[in-house]
Amino acid sequence: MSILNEISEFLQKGRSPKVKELVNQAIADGIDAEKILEEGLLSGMSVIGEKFKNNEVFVPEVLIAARAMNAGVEILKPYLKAADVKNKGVAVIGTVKGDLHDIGKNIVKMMLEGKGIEVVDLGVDVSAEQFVAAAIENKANLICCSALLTTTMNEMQRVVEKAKEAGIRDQVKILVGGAPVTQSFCDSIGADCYTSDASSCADAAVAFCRA
Amino acid sequence: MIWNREQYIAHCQFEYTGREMFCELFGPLVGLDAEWRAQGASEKEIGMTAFDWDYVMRTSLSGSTGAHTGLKKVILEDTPEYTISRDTYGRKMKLIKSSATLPLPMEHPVKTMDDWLKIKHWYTFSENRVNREALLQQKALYDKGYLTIFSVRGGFDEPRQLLGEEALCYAFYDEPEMIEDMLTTMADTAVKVIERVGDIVPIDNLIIHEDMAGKSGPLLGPSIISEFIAPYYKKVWAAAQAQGAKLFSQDSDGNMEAVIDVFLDAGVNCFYPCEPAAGMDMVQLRKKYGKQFYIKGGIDKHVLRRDKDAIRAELEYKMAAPMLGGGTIFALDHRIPNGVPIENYRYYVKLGRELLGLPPVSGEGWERMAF
Repeated sequence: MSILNEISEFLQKGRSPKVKELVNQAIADGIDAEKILEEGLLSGMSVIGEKFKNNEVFVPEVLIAARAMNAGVEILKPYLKAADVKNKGVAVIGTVKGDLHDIGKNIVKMMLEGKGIEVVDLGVDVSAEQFVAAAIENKANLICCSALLTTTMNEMQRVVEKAKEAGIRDQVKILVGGAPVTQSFCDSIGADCYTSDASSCADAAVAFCRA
Repeated sequence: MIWNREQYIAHCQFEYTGREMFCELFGPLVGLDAEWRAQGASEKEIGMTAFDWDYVMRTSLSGSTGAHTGLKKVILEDTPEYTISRDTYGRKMKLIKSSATLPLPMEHPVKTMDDWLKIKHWYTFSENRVNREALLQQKALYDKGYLTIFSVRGGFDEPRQLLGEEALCYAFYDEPEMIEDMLTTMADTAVKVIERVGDIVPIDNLIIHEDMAGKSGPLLGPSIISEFIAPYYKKVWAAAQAQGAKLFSQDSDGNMEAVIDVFLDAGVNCFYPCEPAAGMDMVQLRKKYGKQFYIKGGIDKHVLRRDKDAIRAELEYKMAAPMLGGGTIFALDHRIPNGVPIENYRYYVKLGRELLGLPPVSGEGWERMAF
């Protein structure tokens, strides 16, 4: 098995120390940092994302895999910077105003990072104005809004409206998700994308960033 | 109609009692009362009693298996928008008044094994967990036909209260001995309480609250549940069965399909509220699992926001042969959401009763049936 495959395999098992060790070894072996990132870390996280979507692994396994990925990415950062490797896009993410639930949002964040997208996490109880301001400040390609409560999901419509008012609607894609959110709700508020699970959200985000 | 314990238990065990059961499990979501009032609903409609709902006479037995912290809830800050409090676990909590009915923790008391060991005494057994006086009164209710329900803490939910959702998920891998010790302690205490309660009043229905799934599935998979949580369930269920329990109901929103088998193996025989918005289709579940568990809920609350055709389609699909004759407690899959017109709700009740062969609304009554 190649060292990149090993990195991917150990990442999927959430073995952070082993992933760190192998990433260091790969660098010492002269493997390009971007290749380690793509074919080792992100490849492993992509497998986890797919398994998560299919209910083959669950939140604890995603969390420990993401932790292992981040451990590897930390080692790679200076090399990636030196090689001027760009991220695949920037997303601002948060749970909408009035809503304090965060696990769904956090899983999406991990999946986005697992696809090489830089994520600006605004936390919970985030107003439409905060989403838009952060998107402008970070030159984001994506705004990702999460809601668990039916009473708070309408804030997503305000995010769409505020993005229009700020003149950035053509520059950002707005992705919505969470327990009460549906495709028809997404359509009705003029958002760009609804997905029913975190892994699909990350796939859609990558597609938007490539377009 | 008011049901008694024999009728209710028989119905839950798939015996046809001569009537289907049509209930409202939770009632309206925050803010719906104002919407309905503006639409001309009566106060009895807003209070649910106008709809003559089915419910069973019941009593929640006076034994406590949860955390005895000695702490009291304290309001730290109260504004028109939110309330900050410190709860009985010592956690700072925030409630956003306009959108939520439950406050959420902003911090948790356990991060490490040492933290757990410091508070482990919250969960150890003492005789004051059992209120014998109250139980004697409840025995009289039992004799009058009341269903007796007994609540134990969730094998996922209670550790979540102590650690938080994410930290708990990590802990299954990082601190497995701590989780095992928590659940062993909780199980040992629950078993002792159940034995003492059962000495005075037979237990009919063991209930457990988990809320451990979203629409893409459960937070935990079968392997972690089997290793950590199922042993806890099996201990408390065996103890409850020894005291007469026939029903073991689990409350979890979201899509639990991936873990139904492991929970069935652990003793659960009712899953509710069986949320269609999360992909739980009670007709398909009945086809797959037959009489292995009874279902409460299962009717898509969001359909009530749409039109009468959509309501009819939902009810005609759900209130059909595979679901009739016992084993189903027909109800919305959670609180009635905002945006449901009172006219639609009236139609839902009328049509539901027709399809289930129940007489038109003639009386008054409602009790929450979320257990």
